[in-house]
Amino acid sequence: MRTPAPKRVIPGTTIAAATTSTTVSRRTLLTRAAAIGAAGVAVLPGGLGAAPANPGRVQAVVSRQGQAAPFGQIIYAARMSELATLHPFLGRFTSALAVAYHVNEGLVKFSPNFELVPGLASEWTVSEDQRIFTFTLREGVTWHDGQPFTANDVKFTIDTAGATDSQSPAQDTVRTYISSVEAPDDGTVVITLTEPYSPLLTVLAEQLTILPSHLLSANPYDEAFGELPVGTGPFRVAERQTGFVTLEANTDYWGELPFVQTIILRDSPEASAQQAGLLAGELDVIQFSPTTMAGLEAQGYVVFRGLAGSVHGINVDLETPLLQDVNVRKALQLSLDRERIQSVLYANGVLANTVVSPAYGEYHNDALPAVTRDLDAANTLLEEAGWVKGDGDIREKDGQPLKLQYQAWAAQNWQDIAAIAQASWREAGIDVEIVTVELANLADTMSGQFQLATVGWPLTSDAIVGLTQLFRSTELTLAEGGTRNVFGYKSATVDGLLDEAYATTDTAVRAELGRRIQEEVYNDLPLIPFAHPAYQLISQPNVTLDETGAGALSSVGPGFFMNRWRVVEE
Amino acid sequence: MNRYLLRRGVLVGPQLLILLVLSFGLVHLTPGATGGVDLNALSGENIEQMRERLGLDRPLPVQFGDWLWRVVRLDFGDSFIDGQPVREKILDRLPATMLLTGSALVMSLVLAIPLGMVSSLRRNSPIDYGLTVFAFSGVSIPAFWAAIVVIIVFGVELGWFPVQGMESVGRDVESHAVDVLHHLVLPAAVLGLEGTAALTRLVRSSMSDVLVEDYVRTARAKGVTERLVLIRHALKNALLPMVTLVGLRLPTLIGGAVVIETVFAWPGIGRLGWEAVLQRDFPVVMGLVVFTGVLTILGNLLADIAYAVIDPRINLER
Repeated sequence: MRTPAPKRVIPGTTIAAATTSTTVSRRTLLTRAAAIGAAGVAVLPGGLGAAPANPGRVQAVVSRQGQAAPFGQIIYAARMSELATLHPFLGRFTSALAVAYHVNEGLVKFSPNFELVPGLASEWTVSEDQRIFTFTLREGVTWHDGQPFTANDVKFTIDTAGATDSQSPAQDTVRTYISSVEAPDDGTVVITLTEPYSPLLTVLAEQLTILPSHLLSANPYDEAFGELPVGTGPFRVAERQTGFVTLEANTDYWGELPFVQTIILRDSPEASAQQAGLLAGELDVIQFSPTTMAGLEAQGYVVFRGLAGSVHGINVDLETPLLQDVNVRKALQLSLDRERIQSVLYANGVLANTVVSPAYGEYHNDALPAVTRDLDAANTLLEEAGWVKGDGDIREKDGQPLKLQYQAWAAQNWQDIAAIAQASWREAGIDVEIVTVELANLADTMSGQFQLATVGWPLTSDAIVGLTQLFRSTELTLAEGGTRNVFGYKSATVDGLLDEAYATTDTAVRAELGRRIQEEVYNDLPLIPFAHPAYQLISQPNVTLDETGAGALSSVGPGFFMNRWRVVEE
Repeated sequence: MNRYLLRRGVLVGPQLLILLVLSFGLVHLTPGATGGVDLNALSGENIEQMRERLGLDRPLPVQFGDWLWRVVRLDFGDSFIDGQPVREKILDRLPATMLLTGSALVMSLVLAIPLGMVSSLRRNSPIDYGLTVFAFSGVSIPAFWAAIVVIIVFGVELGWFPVQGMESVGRDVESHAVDVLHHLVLPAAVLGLEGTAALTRLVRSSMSDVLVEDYVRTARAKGVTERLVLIRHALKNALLPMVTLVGLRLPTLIGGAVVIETVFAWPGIGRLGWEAVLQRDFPVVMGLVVFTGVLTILGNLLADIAYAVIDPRINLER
């Protein structure tokens, strides 16, 4: 068994709170003004007080099983429009999903280390043929309204998700793979599959959060439930107003209590407003923007960084004749200044060597040799492939120049990446023309109309599913309803490894298969990865976020482990 | 008079039609009519299903006709994002915007009339110059910049006023009304700044014009006190152009509200529109464009009618 790779490559930075003093020098004031983008504030006198306020801190009195009672209050910036519904099946935005995940729970849960751990099921067994999953439910669990949680709720939830009018993100999975859900008694659920499908556990953890049948049997998509959902989770929704949603620690929770008593998701739509709110003490946690908030860290505010589960890289169209030679693709990789792209555009992320980010723990293959820029090696590969330098130092072969099209979306970061790529490939004698396309035409563009393009692909919370979407052979293009295999990549080896991975629920075996798939992809290069991005939050000095891990859950984002957030007692 | 009203009223028809065509056209000419790109949900099938469900696969004129018929019945459709009726969303957010723009307008009038009068009465004095500098700065300073400056000074550094939203969150307040007023101060002041400045100049110039009129001289000659001369004879006439200008301020205020509501996290229709544009929530965008457009057309109509009613000198029977 391998040692899992570190979950957070850049650990949450902790800086002594003492630097935020009550007297602010003229210089600090200027820094703040500049940070918000208002240089004209220089006319103001210095020396004004500015301590981050800590409103409404109330010591909670509940204590249980020797666990520290939830304590304090954290106000987290969110967009209320995104929190319109907190129904776990309907929420589309990361913040809504983050709330839903804390209020409602699945049979299985993710630990902050991104491992699957028991949730509402205390244990489960899988039949020899990997088709029958038997879950033993946790005893004595109650919904937030006091009603008992039973196997009926589980059956109701999965049946609802697979119904013809289902709005669940898991509807296709349920219809394809689940043939029946039975509740032989209140404490047992048996799920029978049509064929072995090992990602079931991930789907149960992330998408099939259990709904209360006693409230929703008449209308599973009840609007009132979406506004004030009832779950079994560590937080309950205590209040909802136009400008905020309040979560309170559920002191009857069956598992470890949250550290914080109250989390308020407060409406604050825009980066500069959030920053002002943080500085004025009206917000405790906001999204961190490295470009505009650089000065805040030095003032004592604490930045937390977590690695995301997506991979950003150059997509290669394997049907383009010039790109069918793997040595040309290797030369593209070796000559591409990936370090520069990462340092300029993904300053808080990491350089990507393989498609699966280190956030996936043991699924990440860290044994693959690191690729560094090597122009000489790239030149040699191209010479050997018969590409020699001709007019204007552009390589050619049989009179045909080595000229490629590069689709870059009309957004600044994608254009910057394209410019770096173009310049670095030019040094190896490869002529790349940048074609700007509208982001909205993504599906069309990626359906065979590109030669090279840059895309960030999220890998979903199950690395095997992510690898399937990207690399399993398919005849369909994206626009025809195909997968994310826009490269036209077809590898019998990879398909075989994926089949094996679907047929076993053994995490160690699946991870090993995942690593082998990465090795294939690393050698075949349908995708030249350059970075795994990171998400960042910044908080008041007295708020700690650095146990929240699990960046691979990119569909949910930085709020996925709000139960691990804590307020430091002063 | 009645013929004038009739003629003026008939004009509203073409205005409304142009507004409807423009708002429909603008939104449908924007790229990305599938509702933006969500990489997690990205598959050709989903997008096609979505387009069908939303009726985006039908010919544009059919979509327009359909939309028009619904708009006439005040049905702006449902939001792409959360499925709630657009009309409800707008009505939910309207009170916050009315409070904000109303306060800004009242502030403009209350400040501009005395300031303009002082400026006019003390022409070319230091006070006048000072007020002129204020007026030109007020008109020139971009609202988002002014907003950030007041946030830093009065919110962050001095800590006198809150900078987020319409009410306190996470702490007890003694009176909700006082709390809302406290939150209102900064956004309303910034939103009202430009109007105050512009109206100050207007009052100054029209007051200056009126003060040299014969009837003012006559009033003074027959021994009316200076106060009465100023208020009853001069100011009353000087304020006539204000009626039109207040009507014209409506679109400016709503436009400014988009910026101010965003910077101050104020939960009004300006914010609603801004977020809808970012999320390409077309029904909400179109609903808001039509809604504010109609408000503007009606505002102008009312101003014209009021003008005709108040000022008997204007011969409208031509």
